[in-house]
Amino acid sequence: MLKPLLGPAAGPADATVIRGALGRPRGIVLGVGLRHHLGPLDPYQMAVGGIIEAVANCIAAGADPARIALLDNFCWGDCRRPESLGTLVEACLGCQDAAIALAAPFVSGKDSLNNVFTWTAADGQQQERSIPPTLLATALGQIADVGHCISPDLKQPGSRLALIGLSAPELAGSQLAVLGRVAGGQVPQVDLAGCRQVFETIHRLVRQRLLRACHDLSDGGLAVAVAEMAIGSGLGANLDLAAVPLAATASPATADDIVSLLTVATTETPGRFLCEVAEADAAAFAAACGDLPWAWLGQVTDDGRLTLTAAETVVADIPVTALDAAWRAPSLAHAGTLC
Amino acid sequence: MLAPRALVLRGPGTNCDHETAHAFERAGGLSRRIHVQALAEKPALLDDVQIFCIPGGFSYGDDIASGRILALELSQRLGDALRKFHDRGGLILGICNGFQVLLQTGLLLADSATSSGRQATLAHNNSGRFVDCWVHLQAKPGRCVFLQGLSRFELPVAHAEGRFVTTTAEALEALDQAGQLVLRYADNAAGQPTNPNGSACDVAGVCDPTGRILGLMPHPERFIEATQHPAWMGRLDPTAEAAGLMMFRNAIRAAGGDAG
Repeated sequence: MLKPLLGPAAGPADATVIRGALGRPRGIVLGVGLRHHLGPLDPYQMAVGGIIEAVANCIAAGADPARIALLDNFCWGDCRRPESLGTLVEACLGCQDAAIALAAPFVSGKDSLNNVFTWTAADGQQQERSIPPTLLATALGQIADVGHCISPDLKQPGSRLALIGLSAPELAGSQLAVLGRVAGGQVPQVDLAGCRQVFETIHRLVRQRLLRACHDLSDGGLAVAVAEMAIGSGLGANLDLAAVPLAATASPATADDIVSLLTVATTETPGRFLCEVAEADAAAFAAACGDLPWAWLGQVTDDGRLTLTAAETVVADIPVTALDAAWRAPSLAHAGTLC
Repeated sequence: MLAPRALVLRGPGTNCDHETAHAFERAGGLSRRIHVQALAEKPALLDDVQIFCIPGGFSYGDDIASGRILALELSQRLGDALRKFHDRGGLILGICNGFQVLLQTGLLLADSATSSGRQATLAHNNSGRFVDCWVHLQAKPGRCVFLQGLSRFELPVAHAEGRFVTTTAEALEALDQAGQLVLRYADNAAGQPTNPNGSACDVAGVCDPTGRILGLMPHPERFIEATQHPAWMGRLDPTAEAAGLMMFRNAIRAAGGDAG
């Protein structure tokens, strides 16, 4: 009922939804989370972040946060090495804390330990190398009626866009760091109680039918999330980075400060969602969000462009067709054009 | 009056039989899935049904060629029974792998009078790959009972061997003239062609001269309700019926039933 590629222009989905039984309304929601770039930096936050991402993907699609089950998949190096065993313990503690905080049971899992390569170097010395600690989390959710599923593709020009959840300057292990554009920084710290509150709020919005589209923020943060929502629809959006609700540690985005712009646009703080809301539902949306940190950031447009501003100043203005081409390029290069 | 009954064939590698049987039931019929060996042992089961359907899948692992072994089995063990079934007014539907099977049994397009071989086949897609996507279709139903009332609609395809080719250009022309090329891939809303496999004349489905046998590559059973479409959210009523169900309703109606 939700497929991996969604919307008229086939953009990325958060989770997939299948009907449990033919002709019945209940849906099974499947989401995954993988924060492997955090593995070498902080295996505890990698595990917690991966679980939060898996669950957030299900919540964005409409799953009930009270009925989530978890699975883990550990891919680790040589566990006789103290550092491998130590990171494994850290990740397990992360799994425990996340599962308890979300009241979500681990129903199964899998491990692939001792992923280690050995070879003889030119000097005759035996060498070995372990893979970085990697936890893939899977969340299995439910939705009472598949007709209430939410997809991330933008639906209607003129809708408002709202960001729920606080953003902190946490670029360590982010896509920006993977691309080599920043170094160092803080690893995203998960606020488990805060995440749970956001998940419950999103589900309240789903039940009240106040979301036209919803997407969780993960790899690439806010900028990538809004781009993905535009890609699936072919519609455009404008977004004011200066309006993003910030944690106390963050500086507001200002047009003359590239670091502030990049940080707000691409930080990967977990537990945030970008929502499309009909103008007529704006007041009901605000009421449903209550005292949770959230803000209106912009609108859906029909001009086919993604326009990011800092207050009144345009800081990025990109055709959605260019975003679409960039997003599809790796898979097309790999598979050749299909349809 | 009893609802019309459909027999949905299954065999090793069939994987769309549950959904197809469900679609017939949603359309107001009664359906039963039957293993090819069980039917071969008791061909008289065909006497109690009005519709016979060969659903999608990878029958016998697509060994040798898609549908080849199941087609051989049907021809050898059930050929006469199926011809009798059709002659007394029965409807036959072949979807995807079932279309491949139907073509190879000679039930759908009779062997050409001027050559010993088959007139047409479903060859490997031009891309050389398995394709899994949604296509736009244009129906020109003519006598074809399954497509009555349908014009432009969308369905998903999923196949590696779906390129319709005929032995000669004349054979294609003859089928066209006879009104048997009843379903074709069409352009999408942006005006781009959606033919996924390089089929001649964009052929997606063909019927026999009576209009009571249809073979098609797209999967109507995978689009019987709006929520199966990849862009339904916020655009289609989730409780609405979809184009694929029309084909099953048409079959039930043509078999004398109340399709709602």
